[in-house]
Amino acid sequence: MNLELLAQLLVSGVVLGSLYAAMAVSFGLIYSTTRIFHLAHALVFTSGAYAAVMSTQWFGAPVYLAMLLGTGFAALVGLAIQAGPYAIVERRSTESINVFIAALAVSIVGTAGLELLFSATQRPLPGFPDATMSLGSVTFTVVDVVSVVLAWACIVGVAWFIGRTTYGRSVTAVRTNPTMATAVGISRRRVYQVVFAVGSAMAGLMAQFVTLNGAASPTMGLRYVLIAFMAVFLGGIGSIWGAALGGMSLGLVTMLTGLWVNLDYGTAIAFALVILMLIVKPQGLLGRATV
Amino acid sequence: MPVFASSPPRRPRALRLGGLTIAAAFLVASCGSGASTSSTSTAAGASTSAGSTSAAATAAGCTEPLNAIFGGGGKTGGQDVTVSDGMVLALSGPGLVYGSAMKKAADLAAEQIKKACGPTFQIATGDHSNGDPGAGLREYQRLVSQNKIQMLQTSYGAPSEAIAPKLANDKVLAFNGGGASPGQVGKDNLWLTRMIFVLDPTPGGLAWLHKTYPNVKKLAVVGQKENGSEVQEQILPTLWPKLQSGGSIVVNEYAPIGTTNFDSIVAKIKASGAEAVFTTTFSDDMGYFVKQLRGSGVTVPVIGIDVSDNFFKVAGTSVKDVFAAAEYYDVKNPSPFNKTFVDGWTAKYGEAPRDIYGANYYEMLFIWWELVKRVIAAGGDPADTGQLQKALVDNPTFTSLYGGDASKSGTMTFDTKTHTISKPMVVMQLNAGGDVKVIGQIKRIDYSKDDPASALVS
Repeated sequence: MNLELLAQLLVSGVVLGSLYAAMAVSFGLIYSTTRIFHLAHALVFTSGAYAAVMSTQWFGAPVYLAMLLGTGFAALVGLAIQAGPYAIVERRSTESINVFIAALAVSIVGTAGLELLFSATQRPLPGFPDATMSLGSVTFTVVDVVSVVLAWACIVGVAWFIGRTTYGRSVTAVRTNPTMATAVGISRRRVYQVVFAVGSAMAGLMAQFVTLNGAASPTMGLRYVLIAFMAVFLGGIGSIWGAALGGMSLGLVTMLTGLWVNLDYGTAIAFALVILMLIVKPQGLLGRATV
Repeated sequence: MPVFASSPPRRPRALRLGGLTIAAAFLVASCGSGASTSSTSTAAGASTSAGSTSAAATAAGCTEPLNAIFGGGGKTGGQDVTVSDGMVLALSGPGLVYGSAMKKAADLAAEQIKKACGPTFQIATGDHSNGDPGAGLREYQRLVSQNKIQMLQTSYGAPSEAIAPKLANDKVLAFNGGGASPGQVGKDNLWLTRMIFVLDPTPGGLAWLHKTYPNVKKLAVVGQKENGSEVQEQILPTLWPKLQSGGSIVVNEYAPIGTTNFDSIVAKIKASGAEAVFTTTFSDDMGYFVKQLRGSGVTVPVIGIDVSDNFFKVAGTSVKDVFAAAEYYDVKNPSPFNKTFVDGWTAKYGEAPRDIYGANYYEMLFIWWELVKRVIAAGGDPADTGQLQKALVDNPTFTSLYGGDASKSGTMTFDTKTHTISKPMVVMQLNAGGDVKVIGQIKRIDYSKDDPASALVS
């Protein structure tokens, strides 16, 4: 085995896995609390990227401010989707499939809208330091380091918020038993708004790093949301650390399979392992078995 | 599992509203993502009564610059002829940049030919959704049934290969100047006005790499199966050891089109000690690949087979020691035909044409005009695509935007067996910011027989 290759793939796996972990936590927080399969999270992700890019192009904003604006804009888009189509459809029907269809429609319409507004041209986000660093034979960039640090800072922050704050406990209450939570005076609407805002901001932040590593494009978000979804189920629904572990696992497996097979097959193998996990332990890596 | 409140009874109104919302959403989405809608544009100046218009034009004499190159218009020049021209292009998504250039080219050509008292081209478009063969075929069938097209300007490889078997039966004569793939070679009623994508420039690019970097032995190859695996599985493994004594391909990897994370491939290239990289990725994908390769500290030369705006946008400042072997359109070519094209494009669109796509799709309408004139001269029916194709086979040489000089326009000649064409290919040095410099000339060879070094002209 080529140890140099193994070391580089491990580092690349950690970088990719951290991104997947943060996306999984953002998606999982929303899904486990609201039970909405929030496919429009892809649109939130992409909107955050475009907000950052366009603020540099239209207003000459420095890149750090642009990234902050992009993150904030993503949170607003998430809130608007929750307060708009999701809330309306949920009020008029309790069939969860209807909300899923609304999520799918919002995602498709939103992506088409971005393409109409900005065309499908790739839009980079310049100005962030992109120096390459090395540790022995292993190389990584400044963007890699910052993205890993911020991804885990967000994950730890969300875990602390859910586990250690009063509002976090409200979120847990709604997630566990929404009827009882409402009965004791917890506003389900307010809790939904909070999880959508937090989850969307996280997705928007991660979108900045994906854009820094390449460019923004209208369809950039769907892949990450689907991976986030798989990671949540791999790790166990309702568990922040489970979602993070699921995302990290998918990132590492995708990269490490490069030791033996073509990139073509890396993602397929990662998802094959998800299926295997769901057969062996359906509640996920850190989920609890239900009777 | 959490317990939710019991559900109220279903409300039919919600279903109707939900259904309407979804239908509206998909309708808007389908418009935005370019599904089965078309735009029809008629060349400037609708056909008026044939007799009086053509008589007046002939009497007045068409004195457009094009008439000096293509001869007078009027009745013998096909002025009474209306051509229904269908274009199946990428009109949405990342390929829109190509489709847009192709449509602009056709519109400009139609307008200029009309002014030069040539045929009237009625252009209708369809979107193959960035190379989806199913979408391409559906759009083609719609253009045949609704617009009764005689001429087809198609693009990309996969949709064109799906359409090809239908052309003869539908009596449509087609041209592809964008995604000329091996699967389209020699197909009835289909003629390629571009070199075979990836296959044709590869031997020349490899020969240039060897000549410029004679000490390079270990070559890494990264490509996309969708562009044909012949290059990675046959051409490069055959030619590289012939060119370079002791040469070997140390990495040979595929990445699907649309890949944005090449980290595992980059890691393999680093670990292999490759001394150069040959890639058949293109557009954004090549941009992501080069950016991540350079970001990992790999500084070896990279040679590809494509140049595009999206590549420069994605790769940004990491474009160093990157080259491309590809067909080349020279906007500064002083030939009379090219001058008419460049001047017309600049006047109509506010900027000079940039690439082969505009040039190739402009030329096609002039090929058709020439065929119409030949069929009329022979006393035939210029609406009969069988006669038009016979005229092409009888004389496969046409005026071209490529080649020539200040005093005369260049020409291009089809190979009547393979239905392909030979156009100038070069090696270009790519620099950050979109700067491109031609540094070598290459040509097509038969890689199974010819000396690979002969693919490099200068």
